[in-house]
Amino acid sequence: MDFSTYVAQRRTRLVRTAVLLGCPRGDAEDIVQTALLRCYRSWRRVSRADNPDAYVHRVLVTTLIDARTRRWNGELPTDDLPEPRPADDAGWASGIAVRRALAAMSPDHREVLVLRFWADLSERDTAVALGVAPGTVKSRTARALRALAPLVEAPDAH
Amino acid sequence: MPTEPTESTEPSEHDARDLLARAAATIDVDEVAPLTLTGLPEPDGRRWPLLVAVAAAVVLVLGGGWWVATQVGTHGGTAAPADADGSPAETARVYDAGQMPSLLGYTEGEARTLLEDAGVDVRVRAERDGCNVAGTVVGADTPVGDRLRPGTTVTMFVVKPRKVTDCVGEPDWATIWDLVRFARGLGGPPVLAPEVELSLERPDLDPVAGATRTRDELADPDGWTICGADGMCHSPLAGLEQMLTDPAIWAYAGTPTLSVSQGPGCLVGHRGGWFSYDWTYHLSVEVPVDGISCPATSLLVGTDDQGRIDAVELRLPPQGADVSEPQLETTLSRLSAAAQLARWARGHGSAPHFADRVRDLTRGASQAWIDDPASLASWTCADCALGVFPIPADQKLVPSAGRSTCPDGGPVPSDYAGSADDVVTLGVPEPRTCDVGAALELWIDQDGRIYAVDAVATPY
Repeated sequence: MDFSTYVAQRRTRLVRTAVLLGCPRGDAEDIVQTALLRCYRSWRRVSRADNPDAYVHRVLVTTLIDARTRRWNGELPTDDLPEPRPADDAGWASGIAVRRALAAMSPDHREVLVLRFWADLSERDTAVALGVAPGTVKSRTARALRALAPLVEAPDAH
Repeated sequence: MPTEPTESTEPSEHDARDLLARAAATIDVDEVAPLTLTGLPEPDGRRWPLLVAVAAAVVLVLGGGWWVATQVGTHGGTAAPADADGSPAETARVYDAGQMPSLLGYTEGEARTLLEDAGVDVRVRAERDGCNVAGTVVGADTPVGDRLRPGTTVTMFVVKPRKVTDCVGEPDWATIWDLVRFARGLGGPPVLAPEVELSLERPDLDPVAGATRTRDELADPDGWTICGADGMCHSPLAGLEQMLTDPAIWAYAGTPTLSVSQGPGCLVGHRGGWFSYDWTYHLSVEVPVDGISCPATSLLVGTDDQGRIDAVELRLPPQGADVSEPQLETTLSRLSAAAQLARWARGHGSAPHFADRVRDLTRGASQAWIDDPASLASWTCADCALGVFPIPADQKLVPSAGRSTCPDGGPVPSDYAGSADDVVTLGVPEPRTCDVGAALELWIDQDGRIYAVDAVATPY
């Protein structure tokens, strides 16, 4: 896949991934741009890999970590969730609830949930993206999923 | 009786995808990619100078003062700017005739001549390996740089053939040694693809420098030099020669070996680790040590489907990452508290004095506070300080004043950064690079109470 096509297809999704990973909304586009430019320079090699997503997410995660340590002093702002829309938009309300739950959990748990279930990376690719063993992804995922349990019923509960 | 969280409430993967999709839907994104991304030509490797400039401009804007500071630091430090003749920053270490050279990549005959000329007796220890190149010297028993005294004996380790069924999964040693010998000026170029991608990666320098060169250009060792975004020139080939000859790269003095890993191997290093899964080989030169060793300098080699080298990347440690002598004074009570912690963590003696709770500044730690510091268990979860830097039973650690000079601990909140006088770092004695500079930084008040901790330079 050439670089332009990849950007066209994935950039929006990557911005959302960055926000779900805890990046402040206002910085997410910059972070994704930085990450994509990092990938650009080795794109020939990246695109030759079976799945460029693993590499791109790896770069995105490290770019976020760098930005976090450098610009946000290690703390993730969690108070920039958008205002809830009127209550008739149940999907929106439950989405915000999920984001609050993500913001409240540890970075380890948040990362595996976002990469596995939003970015659609396999366990193995998630392990590559996070620089941890596949077994670690598995165990973290199991624990992280429990934190989402209270939200599962929410769509039907209103 | 404590109860486990109820398993039955664990959401299915389907539920999780649904929930995450709902969360994502609340994030509005402008669908139009910025011009800097869409306006880029497809990477073909031949437009580096322009692209590096474009990307550098973007990073300059994003990274702001940090990047500027890094660049200023680079130019103000010991690193020399690119020479007018464009010679690379990497240089081989040269030994005089009476010193033990690095013999990696020499043939048995070449090495024997060299050593016998120095007046020493030569012995050979056979390294039986049916997949490696017979006759290649892969090590020796005498530390590189040692004085060679006539009449003494040097044993060199030489690959000797052995019957093997096949060499599936083994690196292509012939190509690797050809590259090594070319780097050392002992032979012609290895088998190269018609075009080869050269690049340089340094964690504090982003984007990296890169260039695509033709096979013909690379037949000349000078053709491997790329002049990078840091205003300096670098050469992966000269870098390999330096790796092979310079003990400063190996972290420990001694007898080096060439280490070759394939696929995702040594994911250790700076700021989250190296990423090497899309390269064919990861070459490093190491002195064998107990435990994890991942040199800060290494060479990544990519090959095409015919086994020809088509990409080479030199990975360098960040500028200023070399460990220097601590400058700060510290008090005896702080040093003793740190030493007592090291003993206690190994199961000897009583716990040192702690504050009521201890702040864990370790990057990635899931709990910011260690609530029960006198209990060792609360320090040793996977991402807690002593889980990340388990104090090794057989490794000598010394307390020294001030923060670790390795960068991987990263910034800490300003309260702690401002209390540098309180910091004692427990680390290995005289580490030569940050990869063996793994350490525990301890914030200790004037009464000797430990109140914060940070594990740094941690293997991932």
